[in-house]
Amino acid sequence: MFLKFAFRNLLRNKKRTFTSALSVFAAAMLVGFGYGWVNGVISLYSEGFIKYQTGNVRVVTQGYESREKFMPVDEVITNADEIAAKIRKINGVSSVEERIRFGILMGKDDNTVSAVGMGLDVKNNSFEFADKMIEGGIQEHGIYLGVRLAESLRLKVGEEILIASKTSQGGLNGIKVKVAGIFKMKMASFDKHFFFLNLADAKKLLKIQNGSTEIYAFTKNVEDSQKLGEQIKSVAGEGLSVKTYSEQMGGLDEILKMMKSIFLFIEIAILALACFVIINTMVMAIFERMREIGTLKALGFTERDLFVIFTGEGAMIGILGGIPGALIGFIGIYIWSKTGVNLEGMLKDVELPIEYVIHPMLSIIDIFGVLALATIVPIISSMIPARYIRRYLPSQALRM
Amino acid sequence: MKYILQLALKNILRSKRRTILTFMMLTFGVTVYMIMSSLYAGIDEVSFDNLVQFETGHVKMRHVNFDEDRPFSTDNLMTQKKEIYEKIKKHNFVKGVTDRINLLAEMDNGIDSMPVVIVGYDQSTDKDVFELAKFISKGKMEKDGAIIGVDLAKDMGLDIGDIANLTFRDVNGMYTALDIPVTALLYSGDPMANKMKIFMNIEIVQKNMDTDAFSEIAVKTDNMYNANKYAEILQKEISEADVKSWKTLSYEFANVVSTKKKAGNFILFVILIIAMVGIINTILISIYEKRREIGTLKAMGMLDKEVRNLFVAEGFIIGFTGSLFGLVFGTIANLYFIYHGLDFTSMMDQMGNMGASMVGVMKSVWVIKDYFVITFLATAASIFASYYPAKKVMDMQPVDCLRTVQ
Amino acid sequence: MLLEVKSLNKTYHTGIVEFTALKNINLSVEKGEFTAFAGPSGSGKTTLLNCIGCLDRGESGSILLDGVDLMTKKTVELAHVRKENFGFIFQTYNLFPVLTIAENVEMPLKLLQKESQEEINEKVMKMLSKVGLSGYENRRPLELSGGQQQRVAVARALIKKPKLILADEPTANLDSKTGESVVELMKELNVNEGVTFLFSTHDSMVMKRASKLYEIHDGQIKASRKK
Repeated sequence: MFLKFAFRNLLRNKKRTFTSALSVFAAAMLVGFGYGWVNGVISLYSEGFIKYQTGNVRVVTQGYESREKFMPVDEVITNADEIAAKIRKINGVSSVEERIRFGILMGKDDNTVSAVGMGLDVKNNSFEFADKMIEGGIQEHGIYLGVRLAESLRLKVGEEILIASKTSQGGLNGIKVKVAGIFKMKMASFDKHFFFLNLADAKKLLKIQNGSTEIYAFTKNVEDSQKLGEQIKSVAGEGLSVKTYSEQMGGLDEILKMMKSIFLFIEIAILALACFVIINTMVMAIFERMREIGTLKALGFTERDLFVIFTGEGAMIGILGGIPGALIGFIGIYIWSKTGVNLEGMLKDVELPIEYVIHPMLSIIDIFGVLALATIVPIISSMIPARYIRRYLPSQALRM
Repeated sequence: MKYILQLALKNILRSKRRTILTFMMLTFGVTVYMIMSSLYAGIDEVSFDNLVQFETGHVKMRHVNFDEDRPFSTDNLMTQKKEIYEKIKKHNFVKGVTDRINLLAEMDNGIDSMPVVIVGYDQSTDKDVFELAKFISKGKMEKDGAIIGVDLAKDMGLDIGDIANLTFRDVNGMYTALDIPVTALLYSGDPMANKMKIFMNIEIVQKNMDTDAFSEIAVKTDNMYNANKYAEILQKEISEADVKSWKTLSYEFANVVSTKKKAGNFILFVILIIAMVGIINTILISIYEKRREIGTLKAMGMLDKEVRNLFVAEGFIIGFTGSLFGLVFGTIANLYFIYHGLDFTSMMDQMGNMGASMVGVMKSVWVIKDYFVITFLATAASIFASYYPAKKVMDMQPVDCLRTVQ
Repeated sequence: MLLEVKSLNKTYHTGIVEFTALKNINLSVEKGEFTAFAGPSGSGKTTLLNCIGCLDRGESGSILLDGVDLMTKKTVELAHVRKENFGFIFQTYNLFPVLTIAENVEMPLKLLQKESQEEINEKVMKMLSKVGLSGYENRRPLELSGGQQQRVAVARALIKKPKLILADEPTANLDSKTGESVVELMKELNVNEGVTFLFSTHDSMVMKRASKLYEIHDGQIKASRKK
């Protein structure tokens, strides 16, 4: 009954109702879009970290962890293949990879660059660089270079290069390898500094007899990481460090979460700002109808009833504008996530595991979050002017 | 007009709670903006100073083929030092010239190794252009010793008196080893430098590189703000080098600065919008509450325009005094930020190299322009915001305002 | 002849319903008269008063003030007419609660911008003593009783010595005794200072005092009598 009354009143001044709803619509669209974008990019970013940097769970020796920044090759998990096999059997695990990372200076002719090498199973790995090859292809031996690294060293597929590294025994060793492929992962950190090679070749170069330095485990669902971490700890044995992606990212994961809440706050602020229009509209409506309010009070409506009526009226404006706005914003993001946004200019030199072409990820929770926002904020805003109803006695109201 | 302002002031003082709320919003916003603006200005000043004193000089020259993507190519080293120096030094605006060589090396402590950048500097002329000594946190610059970044020293477990083992390729592509004692630690505004730079006498570097060439020439002029002009003059005469001013070189860094400025402007914009919406609201309610008074004023012969101005004046007073209070609070807060500063040292240690060219303690500087900009903008926005609701007064008929139930 | 109203008509249009508020009104007011419009509520006396006071516009006919037709004037000009010629007294006093009594009273003179503050102050004090409110100049309206507030309103209407004072039901919000004293005050000023009053009322006590009375019913003048 109250809502019907409120709705009728809305239709009394259609132009004003329309403009107010429109401004909320615009803000909600912006918020829906912004929220989708920020959360989509942050999700993408976390996913990138897992896929390209940390795995869902990583196993290394404790010594490796403390000297991580040097990428030591003498901290080897000697029974890595056994542990990997055990992890593979755990429920929810999608893949397990053994890897060896090492940093070297690569020199050719006049130029010297610092590069990171990675020994792994070149055919099956989370980098999927075999699919991102722009020249050459997977072969039995050989190295695969990032496109900008290859350009910097002026190397072409088929040419040979000498790579020299410190070995696990402390000495120096060098091998000559052929460039088998050049990949473009559209990520500065990989395209500029990375090269891949077969795990066996890496072991030969680094003189590692058994095992490897790192084991990466991937799960089907991100949420399972914590659980998997616990399970791996029980099978890995002494002296090893088992860490989930969030533990590895340390402060960064916190910062990402903080960013999400900061943006949420900004979005609420934008929406609240738009809802000021509702406040204005309702203030006008209330003062215009003060005599009616007096009449209603005289008829026996309690202040609470009137409060509900006017709050309902304002909230209706906000929700009529807000929900479609948020939905359209989300549709925009959805289209964007399909086509992708090319940010190569901006991200060319940013060393983060995020592709130049961004496809923001959307989750159902995000959508419901924004819809909830677009409902709650207008309701709260329209409560503010509705309190003017209480200010005047019926007789006073009748006079206005 | 004076009478209208007096009346407006009395009206404002009537609804204290509402006025104070709008007022506080404005004051708070202005205060926050002032603090941020001064802090940014402070960061900029220090950062640019650091950049110029440590990295770029006023004008920098490199080989014409110099490529940002291959900064350590030995093919792009410069020679003909004497000729170029002559061409530079004949200009009156040149106050100092020096050359440096940069190369990529690996530093080894017996267990671990790390890539580092060796910078060879001319010990007699470097101080004419740069202020390396200013960035030394411990130890002394010595003829045969190295100055290494504090973070690098920590990572590698080195201290003054220890020997740093370096391996690099000479101009012929042969690997060369160099052992050099550490005599000083470097703490600069650039976290990357603290992490991977090692400075030493250019003669030692050149001897080990088997060359007498160098990577760059840096020039100090009489005025760093004319650097673009000087760079142009020098470029015309020196065809063998690519001449750039510190401004051009710090282009990317300047981009970061301009992004920060944009963020600042955005905040100012949001504050203004919020303040305007607040003022619109305040005036609107004020008008509806005072309908009968408006009718009485009109009956007494006050012109529609004057009644409107009465309400615009209300908005003006709130906006003007609100921003004035903000300026006062902002100034007080800035006293702390300017003379004491914010200490980020412990935070930086945790965060690693998140920011570009920042120092541990940030200090704000006075931005005089802000006082005028804020006063003007806030006042103009308040007048603008109150004009819209106040205009309604003009359409209100005196009879309607005065009507009472009969 | 100070004021002459000739065949004044006014109709309200609310949606499809038409309501005739004033129908062929003819009347005149001489300088120094104490004229009353009497009639039940809804009879149109307030509308007539508002039309004469330039707060509302008639539809046809003419309102002559000193021989000048007010009906043809623009809205801005009407504001000036009000400012220079009329003083108003309202049923609900309509004083400004943020201003002191003295500030309320001086307002019309401030709007005219003709005199210095000293001259204004002097006039205000004199005026307040005339209405019996000396010593109240720094009080606020809400600290005063209803009768006192209406006296302030009388002082405010009178201070600029207007040609005509229009009073809409000045006693309706007051008890009979207070109302009588306010009317007494108005009558005194009318007799001693020659101020012309025109007011609406349905209070028989007020009607008795009037020197000229127009009885208004359904927007028409039914009777007029002169003492």
